[in-house]
Amino acid sequence: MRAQRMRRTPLSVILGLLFLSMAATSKCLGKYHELLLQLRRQADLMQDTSTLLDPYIRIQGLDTPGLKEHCRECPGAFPSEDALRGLSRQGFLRTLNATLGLVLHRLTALYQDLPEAQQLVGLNIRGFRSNIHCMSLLLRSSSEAETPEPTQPGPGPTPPPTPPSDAFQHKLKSCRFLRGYHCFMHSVGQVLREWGESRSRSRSRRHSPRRAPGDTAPSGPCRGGARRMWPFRRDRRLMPRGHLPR
Amino acid sequence: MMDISLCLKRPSRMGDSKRMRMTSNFQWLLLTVLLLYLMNQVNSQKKRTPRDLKCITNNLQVWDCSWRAPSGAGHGAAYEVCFENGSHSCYRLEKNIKLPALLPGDHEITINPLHDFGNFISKFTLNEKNVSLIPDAPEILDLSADFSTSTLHLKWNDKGSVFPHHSNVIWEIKVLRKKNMEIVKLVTHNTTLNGRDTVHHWSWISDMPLECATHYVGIRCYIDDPQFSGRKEWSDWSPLKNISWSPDSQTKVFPQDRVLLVGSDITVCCVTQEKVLSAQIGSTYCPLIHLDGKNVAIKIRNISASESSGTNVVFSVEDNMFGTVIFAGYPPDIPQKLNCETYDLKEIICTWNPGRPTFLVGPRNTSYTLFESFSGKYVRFKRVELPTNESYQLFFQMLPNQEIYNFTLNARNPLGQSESTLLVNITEKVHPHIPTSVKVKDISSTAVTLSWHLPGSFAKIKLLCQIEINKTNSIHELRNVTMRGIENSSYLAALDKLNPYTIYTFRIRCCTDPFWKWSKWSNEKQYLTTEAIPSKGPDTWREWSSDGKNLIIYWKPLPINEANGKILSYNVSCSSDEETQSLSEIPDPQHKAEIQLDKNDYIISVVAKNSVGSSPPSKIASMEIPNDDLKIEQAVRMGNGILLTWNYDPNVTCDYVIKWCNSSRSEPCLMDWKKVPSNSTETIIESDQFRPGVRYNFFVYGCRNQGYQLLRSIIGYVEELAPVVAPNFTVEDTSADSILVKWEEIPVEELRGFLRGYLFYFEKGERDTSKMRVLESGRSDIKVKNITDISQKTLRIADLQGKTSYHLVLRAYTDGGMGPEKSMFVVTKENSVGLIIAILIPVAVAVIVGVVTSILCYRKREWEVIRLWKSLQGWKDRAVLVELACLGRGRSLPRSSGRRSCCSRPDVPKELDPWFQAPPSLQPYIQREEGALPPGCQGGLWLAWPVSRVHRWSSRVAQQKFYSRATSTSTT
Repeated sequence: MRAQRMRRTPLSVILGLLFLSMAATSKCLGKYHELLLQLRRQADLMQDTSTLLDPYIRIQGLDTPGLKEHCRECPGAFPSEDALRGLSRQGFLRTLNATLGLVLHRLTALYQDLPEAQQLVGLNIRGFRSNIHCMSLLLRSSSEAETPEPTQPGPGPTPPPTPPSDAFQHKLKSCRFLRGYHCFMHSVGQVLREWGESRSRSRSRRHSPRRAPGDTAPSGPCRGGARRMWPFRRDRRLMPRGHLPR
Repeated sequence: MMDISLCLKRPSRMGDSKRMRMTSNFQWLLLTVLLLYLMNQVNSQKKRTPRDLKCITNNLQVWDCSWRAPSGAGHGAAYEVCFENGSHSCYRLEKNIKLPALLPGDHEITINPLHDFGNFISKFTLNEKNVSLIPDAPEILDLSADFSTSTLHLKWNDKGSVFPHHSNVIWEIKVLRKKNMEIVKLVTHNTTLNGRDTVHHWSWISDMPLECATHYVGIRCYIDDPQFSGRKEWSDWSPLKNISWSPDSQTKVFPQDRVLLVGSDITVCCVTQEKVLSAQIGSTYCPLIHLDGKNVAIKIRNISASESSGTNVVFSVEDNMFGTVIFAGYPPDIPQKLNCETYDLKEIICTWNPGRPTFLVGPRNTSYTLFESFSGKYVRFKRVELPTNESYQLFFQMLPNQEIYNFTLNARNPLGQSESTLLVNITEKVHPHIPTSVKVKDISSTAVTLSWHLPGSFAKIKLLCQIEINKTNSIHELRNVTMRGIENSSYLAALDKLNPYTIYTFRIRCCTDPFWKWSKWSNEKQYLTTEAIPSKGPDTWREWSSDGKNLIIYWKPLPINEANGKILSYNVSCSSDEETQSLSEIPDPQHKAEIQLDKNDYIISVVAKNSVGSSPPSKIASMEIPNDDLKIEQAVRMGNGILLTWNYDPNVTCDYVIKWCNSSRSEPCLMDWKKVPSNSTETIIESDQFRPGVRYNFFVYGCRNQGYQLLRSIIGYVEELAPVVAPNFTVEDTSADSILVKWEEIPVEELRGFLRGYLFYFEKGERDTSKMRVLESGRSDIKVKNITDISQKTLRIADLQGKTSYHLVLRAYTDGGMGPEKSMFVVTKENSVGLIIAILIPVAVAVIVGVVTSILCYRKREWEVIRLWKSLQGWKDRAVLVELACLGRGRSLPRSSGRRSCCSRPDVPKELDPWFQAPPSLQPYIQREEGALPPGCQGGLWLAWPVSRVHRWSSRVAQQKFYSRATSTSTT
């Protein structure tokens, strides 16, 4: 019954899986821009709510008037876009890797609710993390000298919950978590989009706020759509996402 | 009293009726006054004595009796109460007395008030029937709640130890809800007092979650002691106890994650400090039921089955939403088609069908437990996947030396449980695995060994295996093999009676004895058996070459089942008494050899060879046995081929050979031949080479001592068609009344069937006009002759007309249809005598008629013509008169005497009108400009002047002159 209600697997997911399999089975790409492009594409794919959130809302019966609006992102569940911008590249990658690790862990609890999509997204995340690893290696081997920066534990995804006693709250929490995940991936995509230019423009260890011409980001899954442009600040620390305008 | 009434009654019998009535009234009045006085005396005495003794008991052991104190008695008045209960006992006490329960029967009780103003003693008769049994109000020991199930648990003590004997007790329990104490449940509960204090429990599931509102519970009882004859009454209600949930500041919805049966009702409430605006189940809004404070509830009736994720119930407040999920489903159905069997006698697999879907998944899904009662072992099955219609299954490890298993499959989910049982002798329920590793090994060209692997511990049972043998273009064969089961699972079977050099496909399946189920068929194993010598010599025939010098020997390739291998070559030898010729090692694709022989009788021998050896020789004599009595017959298709029959000939000892060829081919003609056994008298010849419309020759030979004699010669068609050409025909002779036609035969190739006749059509007609439009048989002007004598090649057509063109058509036909036509035009010769007669007779008739008519005309109208003639002044006018006769054409002619005048004009005088009236038959003539007059007017020769002359000669002036004169004449 649930399977009948599942939408046909989007093409984007299949393409994503292709990326993943490449990333998982092949060696790391040696070219920075290719790897960055792949990361961006994966981030764009993973921010697409049709891969996870939309089917979840539909299957859980949350697609009724009023309820859908309450499936909003939990403040502080994921690092905000500004916070991500404020990290060094290595710090960004470490935070991203850690966050996605927790997301992966949390997704396993959603298996019963969303078996097919959960598996696909799980594969997607693993592929993405593989590319993060490669990018991390690439950055480390480059002459770019970064000040060691510890991984910001910051506000991360909540640990996998104990078996829920309140199914409704569980639904809402999971829904908010999924929306937060998509928003987070949108922010990641935005930050990665700014990487290309900053690297070519300068050897700065911080990201450039400007985007490459024609490098347009897909509209985000978060409320408010467009994000604030990042004001360059060195001392930026992780800020809870909830502080961002919606 | 009786005496008084009797005395009063006596005078009434002696007086009159009025006096009697007055006396009677007086007596009644006196009696009433007396009665009132006595009653007053009694009452005044009663008021001064204790009265209204009432006794009640609450334990059947002690009666608590009380009475109303006499008037004037003070609050602390004392009494002496004496009663008899076996012995006389007196007690001094103030108000009431607790008596031990008295024995059944009446007991006198005297109560003597011990006060100053009188000494009135009250006596009462006390019986158990006057005592009321009113138990004490029960005391609730405990009232607890299970909020998760909305269940109230009530606990109380029946205090049965105070009652002397067993009694039935009815408890009445009431449940009230909300602060305004709405009764939501009033229920009775029956128990028995057994002489001991017993704690009783009662549980009640609320239709509304207990968290939604405060619930109160009270209880009372009624003791129904059958031995107690007094009045029994309900006790007082116990003090109410309540259950309430202590809400924290957070809004909550109850019940949480409730699982309930499809179709049931449920109340969902929202405990909140905020104002609830709306509530909805799924996308349907529900009316709110207001509870205490701002709490609200909704009632959901007849709930339908939930989706796998449950049914959301949501309450909306100003800026938030709160909800719960309800899972509506069914309890597990009884597991259906429970079946336990084993593949290998090591493990038992039990399968079943879950039956009706429960609509509950995940943690609420049905869990199954398979319990085996003899061993006490069980296995559990918990599906976490989505429910499907597939059979569920559980594996149970077999136990050593146990063959009988008693399984109970228990299904359980939050809504209930069900079970199904099965007693099974597992050795009778063996469904073997699919045999694997099938291998084939040679024994001989006709026998092989088949081996396979069948996993399982079948050492103690018998196996029955079925081997399917498939051969190309042959029906498959099944062979059964019975064997004892062995431990190492490798099995072997020999297969014989196979054909050499044949590709076989083997596959195996097995079952156990007794039969339960076949295993699946193993994968197919293909195998080619080894070669053997050919079992027969090739089918041989021979033909002499057209010049009669060489003998051409034909043979057919051996069929695969006779070749027993790949035929490599053939040996041919011709031997007579005198010599032997042989041709060796003729390679296989060649199936024909030519040997120059004289006309001696030779025996031809053909041998086929493969890698193993040579076939027995096939022999045939070179010469045919002559047959003088031979005629050619016809045969046509019968079914799929041509049926040939012949009479049984006892002289034919070997076989019959039917040879056939295309009749249009040159000698030696041989398409194919067929051998049939000597006891046959018919055969059907079929060949893919046969074509419709082609004539074939069939020759039936009978064999005697390897020599063949032609018995029958037959021509035939597999399908007759219509001829493709028409017969060529010519006219041999023509006369004035007949034509002789001659035609040629149609060649066999173009005839395309057996000729059945010709159709000859003829009709009058010329080449350009007739063209023999359509030779329809229905047309009367076409004459048809059907010539069924196909030997006839000429036809004389008689009774024709001389010098007339005739259209002749000829076409041939077979049983396949009508051939095309061929036609020609022929003109018969002229008949001279007839022509003369035909000319003279009409001329003579015309002359005679003309003469007679002229005479008649002349005589009857002579005077009118003369008068008119005379009125005309000149011959010019007279000529115009003639023209006038023709000027009327095309005009509107006046009617006269009902006849239409041919030449009249409107201005012609009346006296002339009869003259112009010509008979209607004349008008066409008059209208012609040639001016020819009708035969009826030929009598007037003056009219025969041609109008053309008048035209040339007359003038327009002359005409006008004539008109004016004629007009004037008419006027005068």
